[in-house]
Amino acid sequence: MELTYLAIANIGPFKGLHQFNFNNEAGKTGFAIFSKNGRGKTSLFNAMQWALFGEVFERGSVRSGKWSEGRKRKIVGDYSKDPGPLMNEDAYREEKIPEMSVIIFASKDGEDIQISRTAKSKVGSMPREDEDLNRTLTVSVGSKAYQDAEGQELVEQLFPSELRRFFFIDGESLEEYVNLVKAGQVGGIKDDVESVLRLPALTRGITDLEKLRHDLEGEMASENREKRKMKKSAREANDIQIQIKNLTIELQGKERNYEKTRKRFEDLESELKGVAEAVSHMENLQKLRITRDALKTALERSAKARHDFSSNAWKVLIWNRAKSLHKEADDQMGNIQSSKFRIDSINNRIGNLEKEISKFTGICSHCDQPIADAESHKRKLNEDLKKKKNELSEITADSDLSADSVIQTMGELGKLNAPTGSKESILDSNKNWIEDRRKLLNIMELLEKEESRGLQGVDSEGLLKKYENRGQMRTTLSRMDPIIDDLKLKIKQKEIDFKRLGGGKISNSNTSKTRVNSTIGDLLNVMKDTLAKYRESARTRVEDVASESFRNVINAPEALTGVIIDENFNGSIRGANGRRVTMPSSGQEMTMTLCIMDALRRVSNVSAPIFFDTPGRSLDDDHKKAQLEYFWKMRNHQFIIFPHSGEYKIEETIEEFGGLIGGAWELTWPTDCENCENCGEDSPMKEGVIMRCMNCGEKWDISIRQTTVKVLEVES
Amino acid sequence: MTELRVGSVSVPQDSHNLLTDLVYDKNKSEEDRPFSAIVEAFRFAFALGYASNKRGKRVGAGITVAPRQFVVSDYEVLFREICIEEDISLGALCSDFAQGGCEIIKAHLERGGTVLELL
Repeated sequence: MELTYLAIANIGPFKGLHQFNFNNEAGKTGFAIFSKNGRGKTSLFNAMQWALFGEVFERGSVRSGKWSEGRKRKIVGDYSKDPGPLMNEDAYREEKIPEMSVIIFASKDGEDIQISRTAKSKVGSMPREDEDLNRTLTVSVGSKAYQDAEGQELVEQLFPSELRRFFFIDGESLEEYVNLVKAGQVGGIKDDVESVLRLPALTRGITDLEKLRHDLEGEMASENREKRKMKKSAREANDIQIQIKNLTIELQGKERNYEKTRKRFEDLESELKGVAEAVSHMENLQKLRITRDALKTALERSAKARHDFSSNAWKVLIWNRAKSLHKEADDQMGNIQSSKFRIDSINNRIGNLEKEISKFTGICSHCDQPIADAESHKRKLNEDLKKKKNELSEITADSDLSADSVIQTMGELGKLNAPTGSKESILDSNKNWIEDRRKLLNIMELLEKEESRGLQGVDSEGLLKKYENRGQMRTTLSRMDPIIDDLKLKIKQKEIDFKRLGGGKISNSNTSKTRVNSTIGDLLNVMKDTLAKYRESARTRVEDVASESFRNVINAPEALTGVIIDENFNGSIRGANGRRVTMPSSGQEMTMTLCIMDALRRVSNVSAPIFFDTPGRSLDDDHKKAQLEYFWKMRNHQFIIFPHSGEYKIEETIEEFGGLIGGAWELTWPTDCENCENCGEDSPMKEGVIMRCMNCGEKWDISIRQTTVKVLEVES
Repeated sequence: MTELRVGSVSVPQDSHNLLTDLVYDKNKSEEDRPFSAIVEAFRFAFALGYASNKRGKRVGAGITVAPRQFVVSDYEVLFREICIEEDISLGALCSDFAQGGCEIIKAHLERGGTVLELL
């Protein structure tokens, strides 16, 4: 595809319609759009991307070894942000129905192509969001026109979006790409090689198949689990079946026994009916014997209880008499305590009196005054002392018992006392025993009478045996009933379990899935082999083509002989010895990267113009020149550069490469104009924001930030 | 002052038989046999004699009660003074009281009563 004409309106700093004519009779493929910063180079670069792909992204970067696009740029929105929206701000604010459009005219294989993309407000002035815009795309090929999605599909065929970065090269992002190409980055340019070979579809196919296979294997695993479960269930079901069989056999045996016993019981019943009186007698005997046995048991219990309680009976009796002795001793103890207290008290008094007499001076110890009748007082003290001593000897003579001996007596007597309530317990247990014995004796009397009654002509012994047999059979039958019911219930439950486990059946559902899985596996292997072969073949082709370009562009082709792209798709420069150059300069690396990009583009076989924003960044003058020389010499590939004034000087570039340039433009603002547009005079006068030509009087406002496109003259 | 003598404990044969018949037998629950061992029955008879202040006269050969099982010194606190006063041993006095008790029991049983009713 060859670009012939470009028209842009209201995009970036371009207000209104601006046009670029890329036609030139000489068929030159080099083009340059020069400007200072901010005059719209990148906007123009973006305008073409927008026209082709309908979207523009912020500068991309390498993340985790992969190239990632930046955020998508908005068409309208907040103009205070950097980068702002794509639409020209003045048009956005001033026009009643703001509209931005780009039209690309091109030709391919002799057919005219027109790509026209427009974004027009559908809500009147100042639409706030991109959703407020009507966005249309019209692609005309020859006489046929295609709209929107259909048109986009056609653009995609002409200019695959996944190869965009090899045709729209942003010099400022190039350093990032250099890092990607250089060894050490994960994956290197593997993805790019796959892109140029249009392998993503194959890769996606592999991914899809792998997903399909994964899902299938998941299903198979789930079915296998189910199958294992079923096998386990089948084993359980078989066990249950055996259990049912065994239980059924057991039930049948029990039922046979039950039936046999029931038959014998009925026979015995009818036999015993014929001797009703005798049966009644036997029943009485039976009842009495049962009662007797029960009463015997009760009597045994009460006799045992009585014997347990009676161990304290002797103490009860002893205490009847000994308690008075205990009381006596207790009283004695009281007396001893009382005497002891009195003795202590008298001794204390005697001590005080003796002390007072021995220290007697005739002066009162309380008031320190002389005692009136000292002698009489002393005599009285001596009399008191004598009296107390007499009293003490009387008390001591009376208390001949020691407290210890009384305590010992009380202790020994206490051992003979029965625990509280012993007597009542013994008497109660004795009463119970008497009552139980009375009942037993009564029953035994009745039993004796009944036994002695007898029945004439009846074999009592035989009858008794039969009667006992009947009782046993009745008991047996009543015991067998719940056993049989329980067995039946167990069998029922087992049958339910058996049904729940699916009766031990196993299905074989995933045989076909196994076959499909195997086929997918084979297909995947073929696809992966193909991909690997394509990739390897592409790697060598890219390496060859990049090396060819590199040798043309580099300023020392004898020392730096080409580009190496290793099996990990990492790029490096090849030295004269065929080995990797270890310390290349950044300019050499930049050149290598450009050559790899060019090689990728050429290998892709996509014929489309190349747009290179800020192409001279990080390159020295020699490389910059070599770059233009090489790329502008290429036939069939238009190479459009967007340099700023610091990269390539306009005059120098046009002068040096005029023979290769098909068209050149300069983007300016009014403030950039040093010469009068009208007469060419080079000394305009500045009056505030107005410049005035001193020669012809032409005036222009230098505060306006609208870009003007100036066509530069080049060698025809 | 006379020393307290311990002496041995014994009852006549017929009393011993009576006491034997008062010992518990699980196969004879309907019989009046409230005591777990013969010494228990003896102790009951002795206590009954003492409580009723009845001493029996022991005639004929006596059957000794094992001193380990019936320790007469346990009752010294009750009988010391009597023994010294009457110059008899503790064992003899206990035996007399036991014999007295046996006589009471025998009479009560003959009237159709039960032993423990004597409490």
